[in-house]
Amino acid sequence: MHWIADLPRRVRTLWRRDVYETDLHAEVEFHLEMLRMEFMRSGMSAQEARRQAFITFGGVERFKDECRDARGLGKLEDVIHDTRYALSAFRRAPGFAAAAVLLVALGIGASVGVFSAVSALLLRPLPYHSPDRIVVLGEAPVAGASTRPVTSYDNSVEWKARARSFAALAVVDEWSPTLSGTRPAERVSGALVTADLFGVLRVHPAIGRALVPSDHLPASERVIVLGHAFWQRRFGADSSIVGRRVTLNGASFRVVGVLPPGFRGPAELGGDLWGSFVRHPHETRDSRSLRVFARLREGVGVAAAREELARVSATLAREYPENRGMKAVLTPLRRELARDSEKPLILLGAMTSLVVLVACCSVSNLLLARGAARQREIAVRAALGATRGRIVRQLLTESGLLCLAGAAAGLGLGMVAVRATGWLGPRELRAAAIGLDTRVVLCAVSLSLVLGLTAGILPALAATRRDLHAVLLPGARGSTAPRGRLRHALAGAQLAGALALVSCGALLFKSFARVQANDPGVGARGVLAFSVSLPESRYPDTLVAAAGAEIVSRVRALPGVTAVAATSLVPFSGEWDRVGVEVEGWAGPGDVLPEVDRFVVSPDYFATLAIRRIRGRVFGPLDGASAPRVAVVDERFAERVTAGRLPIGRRVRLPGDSSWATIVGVVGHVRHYGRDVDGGGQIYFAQAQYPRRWLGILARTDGGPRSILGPARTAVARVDPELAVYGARTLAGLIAEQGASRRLATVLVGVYAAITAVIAIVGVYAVVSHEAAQRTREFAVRLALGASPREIVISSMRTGMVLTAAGVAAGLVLAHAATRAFSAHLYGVRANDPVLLAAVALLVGAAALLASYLPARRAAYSDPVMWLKE
Amino acid sequence: MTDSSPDVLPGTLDLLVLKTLSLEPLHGWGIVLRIQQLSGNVLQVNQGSLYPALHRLENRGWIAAEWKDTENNRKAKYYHLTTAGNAQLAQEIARWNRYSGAVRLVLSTAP
Repeated sequence: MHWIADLPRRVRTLWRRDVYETDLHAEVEFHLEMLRMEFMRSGMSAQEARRQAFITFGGVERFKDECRDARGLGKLEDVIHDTRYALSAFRRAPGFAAAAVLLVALGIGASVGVFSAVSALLLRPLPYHSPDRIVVLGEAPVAGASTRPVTSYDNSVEWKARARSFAALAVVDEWSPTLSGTRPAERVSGALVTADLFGVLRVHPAIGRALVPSDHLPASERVIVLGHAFWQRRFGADSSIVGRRVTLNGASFRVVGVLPPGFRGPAELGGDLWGSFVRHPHETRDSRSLRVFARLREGVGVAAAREELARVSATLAREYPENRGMKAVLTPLRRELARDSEKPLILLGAMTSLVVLVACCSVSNLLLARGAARQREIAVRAALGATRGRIVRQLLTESGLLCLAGAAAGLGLGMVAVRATGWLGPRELRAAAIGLDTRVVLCAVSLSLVLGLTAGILPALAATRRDLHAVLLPGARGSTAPRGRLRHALAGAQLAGALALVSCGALLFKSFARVQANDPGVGARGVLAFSVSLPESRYPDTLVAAAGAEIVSRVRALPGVTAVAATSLVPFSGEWDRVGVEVEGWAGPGDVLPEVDRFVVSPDYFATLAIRRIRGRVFGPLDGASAPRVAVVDERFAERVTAGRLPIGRRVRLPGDSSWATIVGVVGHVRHYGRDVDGGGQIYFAQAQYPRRWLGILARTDGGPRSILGPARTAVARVDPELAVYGARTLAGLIAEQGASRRLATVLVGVYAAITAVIAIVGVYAVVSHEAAQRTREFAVRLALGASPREIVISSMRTGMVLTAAGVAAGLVLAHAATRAFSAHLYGVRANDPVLLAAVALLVGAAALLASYLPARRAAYSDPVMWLKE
Repeated sequence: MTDSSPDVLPGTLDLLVLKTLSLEPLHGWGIVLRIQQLSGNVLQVNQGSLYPALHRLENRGWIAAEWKDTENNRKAKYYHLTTAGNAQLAQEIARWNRYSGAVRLVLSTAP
């Protein structure tokens, strides 16, 4: 309390620091003067008296320091003093300061970029009540995993009835209906859900009511709940909306409620509206297309719930043949949302730590070199009575300031990195609204302070350890041995870190090149994809095929369009339609059917996408609704399902189908899941024989594909003004999107690797040239005594060679660990590819040797006479 | 300036300074001389360390200072005791007496 009450006076003291300093100085001077006079009275010479006065008084600077401490606020004042001192030191050595700031900025910038992505995806709270209790359930084959586990309604009912771990459990079906009415038709995003979803997410409507269990009875009126933003946008925040009817996919729905602002469904739940889920009478236990969201009961952990669910699922597999070979899987919602981004983020995190490590080492080395250059200055301060702690604090202030400045610059760089992540990265990253928030800034600042301390402490201790006499005697060089070893170790560590990063970069780049070399299987140039839905209310089953054909022919008539096809699944879209297929005479009852991707396409599909025809024929105009059913399969199907035997002529059918379809042709494989995924088989059916309400239209153009989007909308509207054209993408864009994650990782790691390599090589150069400068005198003597410049070069390079060898060896070990950690990201290349690692080691080693050769050569060929004269 | 004189015991410098200043206002140099003189040339103040002690006492509000002319017409910083300093001095003296009495008691115990 005393301290606080006293604060104003202390601050005033601080404010009038100059007055205080003058006072203190005058006071001490008076004392010294008195002493001097006393000594002179005893008969000493003026000079001797002066000397004796200083000796009697003791260290003037130290006592002044203690006086300042005694004034209180001494520490704060020290900080200010140290800061001033540091700033003037930077002004004297601007190159050094700029280099240090740049190094820190690189390290911080890299970490900030990655941290903000991690923060956006993994750390930011989900907008739900206790979100960590929400889990996602689904089913996957017992052998192997599924990327997106789904289940059937019937199984979800069994889970709900038998498992005790869940407080609420809801079914979610993706749903993107077309909203029509007085305004232009619009495709909206939403989901069909059971009433329990609102209990799972713990959200209550702002207006009206949520869904209730009775809404799910087939006889009930169909109802929807609106999202807040959608309600504002489409209905102008009309509060009388509750009770009104809207038309979705041609059917009438009644609005019963509006959710609170800020609420959004987890990713796939969309944000516009939520309708009541009604079990379709044709749905069976193995119609697996639904996601299940559940909230864990209080006190039940994820592991316990997972265990119970596995038991229930095993029981179900015994009771129902449809469940054989399937197991239930449970994933916390947060993990589920981060699933795709997690691996690359962990990889980036590891890379970033390496960059920070290398930057830290090199800042440290820079400070060591700077400390060596300031030996005399530091020694003089020590001789004047400054304690070692005081000088260390001063030096740490300098490194701390440098790191803070670096952090500021690094935040700027990080902002650029975040933008770049947005351009290059996968869609989830962009959707997560990555930005620099308080946490990111705090993280950068604290990281920089830690960096400043760790990088600064060794150099500060080293700089203050030396014997004063050795430094202050004229011409003395001081002893450099311990500091030299430290610098060598740091330079070696940098080299090791850089080598590991460059190895990672090289492996990723090789993978990227391999992936890019993979043929996606289609000619994607100039192809536009968009979607049209034919609602059941306006298009009874008998009209669907004709309407689809009408749309295709209208779009083909557009100028600039050279070919048009319709498909049930747009390739590379990220959507999928996987079915078990039964080959006639192959599967026994109860066998697990091989799964393949199903595309239902119009006859022109293969020509429009330039898919290679390998054998047999593709669909033609004769494969109509009344003709015998036919199918086309891809080469992988031929390898996997029919085990290499020619599939043409064999008959296949899907579970639930009564009639068989005959395979008439084999086409090339399309890398639907991405160029780096070696997918399974694909099967094509003719659209005329399996009409679809949902049409993916693919239009090949001879100009820019985007330019025909407007005319295509008009063409579709001419068929039926109630139909909406949506989801327009270019095929090339879809393919690029699939590779975005890998491209981002490759570019970032490449940039990191380049940065660290440059830092490390410059580090080696600095160490060797610094040492050469210190030994100039020795070299000059040796040259004068007849040593050849070659001997001097070798002698001077020895350090460089040793630390290069050690750095490369350590780097190879580190690279081995680092590359192994992300073997999952590699494609077509082994994690410890010996040729590639050797090449990287050679390259880095050669660069390091060159960096040590240059200063050595300069030392050897400089004029010895110049040095000896000195 | 006899080298054989012992330094002031740690912890007693504040007491000596306060007592000296209770007699009359003095500058730092004057305090050194006065302590030496009053102790019969036995106590030797480590001169440099006197100043941190003075600044600490001033900071606590027990002494205050002003610049005045010396008899030789030089400017010097004169310290004097404040009211709070007076009270503190009484406390310090009581504590010292208790302490030194206790030490004497221990030392005078017959073997």
